[in-house]
Amino acid sequence: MLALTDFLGRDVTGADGTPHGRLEDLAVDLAERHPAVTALLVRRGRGAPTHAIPWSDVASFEHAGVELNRGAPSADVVLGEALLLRRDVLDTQIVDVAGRRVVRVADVELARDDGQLRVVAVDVGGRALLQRMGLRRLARRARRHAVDWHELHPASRRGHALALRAPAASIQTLDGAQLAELVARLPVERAAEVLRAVSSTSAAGALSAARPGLGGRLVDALHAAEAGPILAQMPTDDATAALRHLGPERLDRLLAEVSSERGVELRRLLAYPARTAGGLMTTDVRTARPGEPVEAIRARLAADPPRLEGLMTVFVVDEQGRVQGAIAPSALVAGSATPAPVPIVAVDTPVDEVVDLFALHDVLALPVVDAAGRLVGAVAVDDVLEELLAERLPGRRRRWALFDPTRRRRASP
Amino acid sequence: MRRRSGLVALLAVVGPGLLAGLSDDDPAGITTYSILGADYGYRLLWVLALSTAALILFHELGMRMGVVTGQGLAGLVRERYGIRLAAGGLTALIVANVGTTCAEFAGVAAALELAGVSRYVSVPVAAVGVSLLVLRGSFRRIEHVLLALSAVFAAYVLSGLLAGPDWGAVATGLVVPRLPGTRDAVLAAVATVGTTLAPWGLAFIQSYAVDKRLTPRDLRYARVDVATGALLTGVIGVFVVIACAETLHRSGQAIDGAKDAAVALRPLAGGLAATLFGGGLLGAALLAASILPLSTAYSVSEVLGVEAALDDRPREAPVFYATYALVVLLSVTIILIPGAPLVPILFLSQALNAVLLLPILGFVYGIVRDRDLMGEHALGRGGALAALATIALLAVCVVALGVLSVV
Repeated sequence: MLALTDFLGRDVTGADGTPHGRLEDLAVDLAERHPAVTALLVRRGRGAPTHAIPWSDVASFEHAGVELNRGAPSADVVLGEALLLRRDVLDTQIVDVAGRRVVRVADVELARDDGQLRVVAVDVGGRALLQRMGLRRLARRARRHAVDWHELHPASRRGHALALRAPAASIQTLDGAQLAELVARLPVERAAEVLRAVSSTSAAGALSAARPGLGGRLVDALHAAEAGPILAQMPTDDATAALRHLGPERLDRLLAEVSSERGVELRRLLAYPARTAGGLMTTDVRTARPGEPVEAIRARLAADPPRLEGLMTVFVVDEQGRVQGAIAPSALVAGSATPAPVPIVAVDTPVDEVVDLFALHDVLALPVVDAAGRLVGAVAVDDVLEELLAERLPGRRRRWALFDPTRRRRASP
Repeated sequence: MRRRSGLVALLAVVGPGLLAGLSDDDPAGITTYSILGADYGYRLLWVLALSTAALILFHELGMRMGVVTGQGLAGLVRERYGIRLAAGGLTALIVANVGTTCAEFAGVAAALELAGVSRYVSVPVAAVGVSLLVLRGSFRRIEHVLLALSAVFAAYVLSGLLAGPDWGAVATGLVVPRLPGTRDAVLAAVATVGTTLAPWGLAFIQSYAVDKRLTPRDLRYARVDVATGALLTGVIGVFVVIACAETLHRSGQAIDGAKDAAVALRPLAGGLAATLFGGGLLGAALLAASILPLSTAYSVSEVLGVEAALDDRPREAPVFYATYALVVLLSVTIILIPGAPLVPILFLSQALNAVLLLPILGFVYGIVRDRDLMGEHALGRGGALAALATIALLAVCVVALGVLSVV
């Protein structure tokens, strides 16, 4: 494994021994999974312009120096939008997608591969850092910690922009939860760019998994036309949570981009205060009529499963929409459609009481009814967990939360 | 959100600037301004006016860097200048912060010595207490108590008004630059700059802006926030100088201890002046003593590239907690050296701040001018000239101080 910093500043000489300057930087092509070096940036002296020498001119690339295969280098390569390892990667932040954290690059690890030089990983450990600071003795005790190039997203301004456009970018392979971790660690604007670059399904998954506050900021950072398709694919409760913090005009413009049916539904949900059963519920509920045969219910569920596993519970409602009982997923599996009694919550029930009900009763979801007693939605145990563990959902940890009056207080025991 | 009414939008953004500005009125700041007024009357008020202008300028830049890059100052220095220079800048920041933390604990000691409590009791108790509250996450419970206590310093505004100052002399002092060519006068001027535009304040405002996840769209309101906080610091500072000029300077009294400084509050509080001053000093000292070690720990973590926050356990973030502990321990030890003079520590640490501020401002300048990092929000030519002029002026003062100290 070769370290970038071992080569920076080394002499570059022609085949005939003529000095051409010192190595300033390496340009790489992001088209591949492990990007290959395409050009060397070489500078003759302080203040002199840099030249971009094509990799094909290089005869040997060693710690002792770089030697070209010709006397004078070929004409400068046009770098265009190449990623420069020293400027755009070294000492900048990267999001370690697999490790779910933001770290700073202490060195870039390169490997020879059939005449090419490729970026394999970045070193974010203490060893590389201490070595560069000249503390070799301490460095020997520290650890090397590499992050594979394919498992990171560069957070530097240019690195981020280039990685978004690269076909082999790691972000295209992430699922919703991983994407949520990534966007939670980037500045809002860059996070919004990530959401633009991935499919609306992935973006919807990421927004659903993120903390509601963060989801709101991200939706706000997107254009209405971009946010529309994403909102259309989010479960209603997550969409409501993200939309809750937006101003009325912004909300109008966003909802104009989703189907009118969904727009009406989201508006109705937004009317319920945040920390109530109504504010937490989803309308993605499956119902059955009293006495309906179990096969019919099962067939309907199979054809149109709810987004959330917890909502596989089927609520039995009469013709006025009043809840008669619930059929748990386990009962359905056993082939029984006999409704069991279930606690019913009103839309204005405070979240804390909903939490207590879940603690007391062994159920996956609770039916939510309006003032007239009609079923309007359901709260799944998953929603309550999110509410309780809001601090643990993807979202950057805050340093100065010390002073934040809006910070949510943990429920007192 | 784009069209929220102005006030709502402002409230969502407010905080970093105001808090950073207010925390500048810490014991070190109050002491420095008091000495400025007591020793030189209104003659050096212009230094405070210029420092406030510099505070607005650089706090805006700090805010802007945080908003655009999403990173703290120390981390950005490493990204832009590499690890070696960043290590140098970090050392300057650590030294300045330890100095100022010393000053904050000196404030605790001075405040409680007014009440007859020995510093060998007050300082260790304060250090352990503040650390426990911050590290165990229960700081929030007392934070408004401390803010309210330090708001006592607003009493200087009343005291200054009641003293019936010579407003003509105040105006002249604010706009006409005069500087006696003595080492002490230059020292007072340098300390005033160092306490107003403190290195830790810059790092703090930037990291707080990052924390609030402000976006470039919020910059307009964030600027109002910064300017308000900075102006508030300046105004309180001016009234501290006025109150001291009308009392201590008039009677030719120098400030040797907290008791002397409290005299400036007599026009307002009469016999209660010492109590009022002591309360404010204690609140402000504890508030700043809880921010400073934490801010230092964040800066160190940033340069080393390891994420850390108070949510982490010590095992997960050893660098973070070690830095915190070291800053507190070192500061407390210095204050507890028998016979350590409190007022000189409060004052001289601020002059040290100004000296160490120079390289840090240089880094800030280089970063905000860099289009690769700042994009369209890079600093334009006008702002660059203002920033360079500030740096140059500070450099001249620091060099003058060096020359006068040697001669």
